[in-house]
Amino acid sequence: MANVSKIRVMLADDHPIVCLGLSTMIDSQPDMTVVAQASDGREAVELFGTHLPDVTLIDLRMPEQSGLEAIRAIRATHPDACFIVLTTYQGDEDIHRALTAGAQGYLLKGMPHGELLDAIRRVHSGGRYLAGAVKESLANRPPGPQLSPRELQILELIVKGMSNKQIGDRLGITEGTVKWHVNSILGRLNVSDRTQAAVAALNRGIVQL
Amino acid sequence: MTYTYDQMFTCRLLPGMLLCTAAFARSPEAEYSKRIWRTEDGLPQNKIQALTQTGDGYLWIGTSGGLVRFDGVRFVVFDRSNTPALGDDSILSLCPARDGSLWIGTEGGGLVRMKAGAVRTFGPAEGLTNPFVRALAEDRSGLLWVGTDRGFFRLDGAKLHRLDGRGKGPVISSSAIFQDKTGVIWTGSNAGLYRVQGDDIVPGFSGRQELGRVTSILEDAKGALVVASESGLRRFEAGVPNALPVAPVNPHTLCLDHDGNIWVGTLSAGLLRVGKNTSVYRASDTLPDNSVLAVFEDNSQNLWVGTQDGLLRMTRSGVHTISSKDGLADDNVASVYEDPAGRLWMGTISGRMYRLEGERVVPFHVPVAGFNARSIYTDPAGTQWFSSTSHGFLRLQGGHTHVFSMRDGLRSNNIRQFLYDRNGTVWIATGSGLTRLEGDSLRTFYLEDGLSYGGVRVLAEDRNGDILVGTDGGLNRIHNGEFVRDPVFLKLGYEKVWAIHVDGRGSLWLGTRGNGLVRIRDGKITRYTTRDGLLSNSVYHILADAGSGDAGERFWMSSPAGVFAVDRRELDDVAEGRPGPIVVMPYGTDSGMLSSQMNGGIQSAGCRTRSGRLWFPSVKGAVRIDPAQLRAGPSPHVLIEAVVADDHALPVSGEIVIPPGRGKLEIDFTSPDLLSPDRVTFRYRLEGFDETWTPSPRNRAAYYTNLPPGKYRFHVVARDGASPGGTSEAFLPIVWRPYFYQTYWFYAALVILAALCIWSVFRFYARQTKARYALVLAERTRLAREMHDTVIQGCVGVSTLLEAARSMPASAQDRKLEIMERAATQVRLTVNEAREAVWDLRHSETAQNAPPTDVVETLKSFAAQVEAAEGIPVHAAIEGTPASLGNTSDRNLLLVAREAIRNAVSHAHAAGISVILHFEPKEVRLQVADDGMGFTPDATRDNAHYGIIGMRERVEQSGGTFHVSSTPGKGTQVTARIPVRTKHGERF
Repeated sequence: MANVSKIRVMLADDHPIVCLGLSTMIDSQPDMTVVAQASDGREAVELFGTHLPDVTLIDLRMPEQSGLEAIRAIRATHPDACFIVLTTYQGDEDIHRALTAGAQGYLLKGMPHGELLDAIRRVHSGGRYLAGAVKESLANRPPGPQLSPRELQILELIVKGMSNKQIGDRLGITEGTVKWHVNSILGRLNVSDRTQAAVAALNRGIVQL
Repeated sequence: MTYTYDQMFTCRLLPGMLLCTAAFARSPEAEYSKRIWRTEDGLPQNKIQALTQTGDGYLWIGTSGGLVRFDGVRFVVFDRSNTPALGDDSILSLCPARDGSLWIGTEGGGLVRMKAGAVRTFGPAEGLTNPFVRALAEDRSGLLWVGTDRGFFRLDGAKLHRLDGRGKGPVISSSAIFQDKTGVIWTGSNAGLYRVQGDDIVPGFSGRQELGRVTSILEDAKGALVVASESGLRRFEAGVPNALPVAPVNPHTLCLDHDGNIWVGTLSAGLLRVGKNTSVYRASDTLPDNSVLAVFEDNSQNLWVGTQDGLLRMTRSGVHTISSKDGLADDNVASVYEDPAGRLWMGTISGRMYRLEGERVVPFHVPVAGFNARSIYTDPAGTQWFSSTSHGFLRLQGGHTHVFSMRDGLRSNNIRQFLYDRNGTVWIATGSGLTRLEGDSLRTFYLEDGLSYGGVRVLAEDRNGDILVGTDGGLNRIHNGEFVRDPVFLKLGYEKVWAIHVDGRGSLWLGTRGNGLVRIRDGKITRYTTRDGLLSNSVYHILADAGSGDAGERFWMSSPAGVFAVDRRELDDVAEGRPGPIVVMPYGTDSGMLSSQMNGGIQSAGCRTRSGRLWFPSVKGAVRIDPAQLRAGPSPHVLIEAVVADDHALPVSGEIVIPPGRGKLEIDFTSPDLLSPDRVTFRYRLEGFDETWTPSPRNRAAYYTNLPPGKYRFHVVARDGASPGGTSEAFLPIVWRPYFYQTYWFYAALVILAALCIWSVFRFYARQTKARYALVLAERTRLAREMHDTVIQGCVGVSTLLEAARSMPASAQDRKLEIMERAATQVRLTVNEAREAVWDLRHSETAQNAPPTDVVETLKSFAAQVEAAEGIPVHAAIEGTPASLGNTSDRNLLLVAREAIRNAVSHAHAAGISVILHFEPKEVRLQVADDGMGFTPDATRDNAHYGIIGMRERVEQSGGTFHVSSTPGKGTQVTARIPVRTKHGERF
């Protein structure tokens, strides 16, 4: 019953090479096996229902549905699902959000394979696994900015380099309103201008590229 | 009856006057100096029809071409061109009113009042039915009476009330109006004399007078009316006509002077003075013209005579000139001398001698033929000595003549002075050396004897009997017949000494040529120049008068600028450390002299006669000044006449407010003085602009340029040189309004504007910086994205593969190698992608806001670029509905297309390239076809070379298939198919 005892892992990553590497790594272990590979969030949700893996390695950034959304969707129906977030980002807000959404592990891509395998085993046994760098980011996380959805939306557009007017046109609101939101954002992020706001938003993972 | 009339004058005449008139009865000019003005002097016309003087001192001249105001120096013309209210330029009558206004009667233009610069016309609307105003008079109650060609009026308020032609009364043409001592208003009409009775006019006297047209009326000292009429000059004593001693033809205008003389201007026979004696002045001797239209005596006792052809002033100035008109052969007089017998001699430069007998000039011929005498000296023994320019000198002694010349021991035949000293020695000053007559022989002193300079100009004997020798190079002293050193004289240096005056108090006065007047006393030298007020720095002769009344002894000095008188005490005060004003009274052409250029350097260059008169030689005759007759002019009365701002004349009244302008200001001022205006000097100051007073001795205007806007006060002071205390001053407040750009608020606005500009520029740069920063940020963001999409993704992939290989057991060698192979490929791809990312970075600057990878647009623009750059037609076609494959696949697709096109251009040397991007619901197909040289697809080396492997790997990375078909010489066709995994392109 080797199959029974093996940890059944699902991969969700839009990068085929990464998937190939991960699956090779996992399959080469005696105690775990890759049962499904999804290349976007939606597929991950579908495949999860089909395969019910023990542990899901999931990228945060994927087409169709982000990893975070996928985690939320899956946990809505499978509250006991175990997730390890696998990402190139280590922004505190990303990690915070991922953990909030129900991920038990958080790994940065390019980690030594031992760490990945260790994390899968740890999470599978009910523990949590956070990479060292991730722990650090999380510890340094300032009190949450608590941006409103509208503010978050505007901040994303700011990061894209749009002017207030362009943002207003895009969102169908007046420039004055945008300005008002921007001021509010600046206050919440404790920065003095939109450039700093953009830098902070990227650094902290409030907005992703 | 004549006797009675003459008696009247006799009783009024002063003894001095008697002498005067007696002495000069033959020639009327003897008493009056005259000056004539015509159009060339500033008059608008030569025909002078009316004359009067207003209380401010101006003389007003009515000409046929305008009204003229005269202050003694300047004529200011008022005519219709500058004073439209003046109905006509021809002025027939003038009358000053007690309120300061001037009434003007014009020829056809009605009555005009000029008051403080305001001009008002009175015409039919005011009741003046005839516009030809020939007579005007203000009576003692202040009522104005107006005589016209048809109608006699009285001004009641602002209306003219006609007195003639009422009821049965006659209609008259009035050309003369006069109020007698009893208050009766008389008017002269075309039909005799009338007078006003109540509101009517009645015939002047009962019975027929047969006067005809009456043109002038006055009342003599006995209360008799004197009337000039068509029928002649008549006198009515208590209504009874009696004759006058004269019967001039065409008497036209009358004037009673301060001495009681009646002046009669005639239309054709000149001017008569009727008094103790009757004098006639004609064009031949005095007048500019024999037709006299107006006669007026001003408050300085000048008599003004208006004629058909010019204006004449006759002044008893006390200055008289004997010139060629009086019989001199020429005007240039070298010497004047009164001999011990009281005879006056004069010699001309040309070498002719004259004697004055009474007023008659009698030539004197020296009894030596060819001897051109120019001066004479008579010694106490009665011997006459004559000097010449080039013949030495002549002694005329008891009918014997002796000519001394260079043959006799003179160094020069140019003789300048004789001096008979207290020892009876005769000294002769010559053009080269000083000569002493010893018996009949001459002893000449020259430089070797101690004379400082050869040319001797003047000799004098001082109180100690020393002879003082003035030369063109210093002053010398002869003591006991020998030249002696005088340390004080040495201090003077090589001064040109032309005049020496030894006063009775021990002072020596020297007139120098060019260096002023010098006083030497007790070894101290004091010099006076034009800075002290002297008329000139050249003093040719010094005469002292007797002094008069409380005035002390005066020095009279001749100079190239005229004669001037100075109180000696004022000079002494300055020399003795009590500086005070030196009042200089000048005499020149204004005083009746024909020229102000006096002559000197040949003695005697001036003399004082026993009667107290002073004579000086001038280039225009011998000038005689009678100090006793000189009168001071009126006290100065300064007036501001005109303000011209930026070439616009402004009315002078109250405060002058000038509109914004260039700051060019001219202020004309004057002090009317009809007698000797050149004695009035001015100084002025524009308070608020000038720090100090500006002296203006002669100029009667102040000029300012670039005057900034602001408040000023013009202050001018006039001072009469003849009356030290007599000053007059006037003020004029002036406000020059600024242009808006000269105001403070404008400057404030400018400052604010400048601040705004600076702020705007600052803001602009701040925005620029921000925009640039935003650009940098966008770049950075984009670069970060590119890095993520290429390098990081690639590295993560490789890393994952390598980790996977590491995790495999040693037994799975084949699998490991396969993984390593994938990793190597991935690294290669990543390097390529990173390179492309940099390429993208460079070329996407123009499309900042475009989606990161718009496949269609990028492909099209690349095709266009290649077409433009390589000149090869690249046909790009899009089929189906464009949709995105996601970032990585879109990028791969583009990179494949680019690689294929590049191959076609650089390796296949294609002549045409076709690119088709075909979108289908399930896959996207890219086809790049060229007509180039092609190759054999199996040749692995070529594959590698052409990047075919790279293209294949990219396509496979995106889960697609890649196919190349090519035949050498028949082109290449590259096909890539990538499956569509997502339906919605837009993400992130």
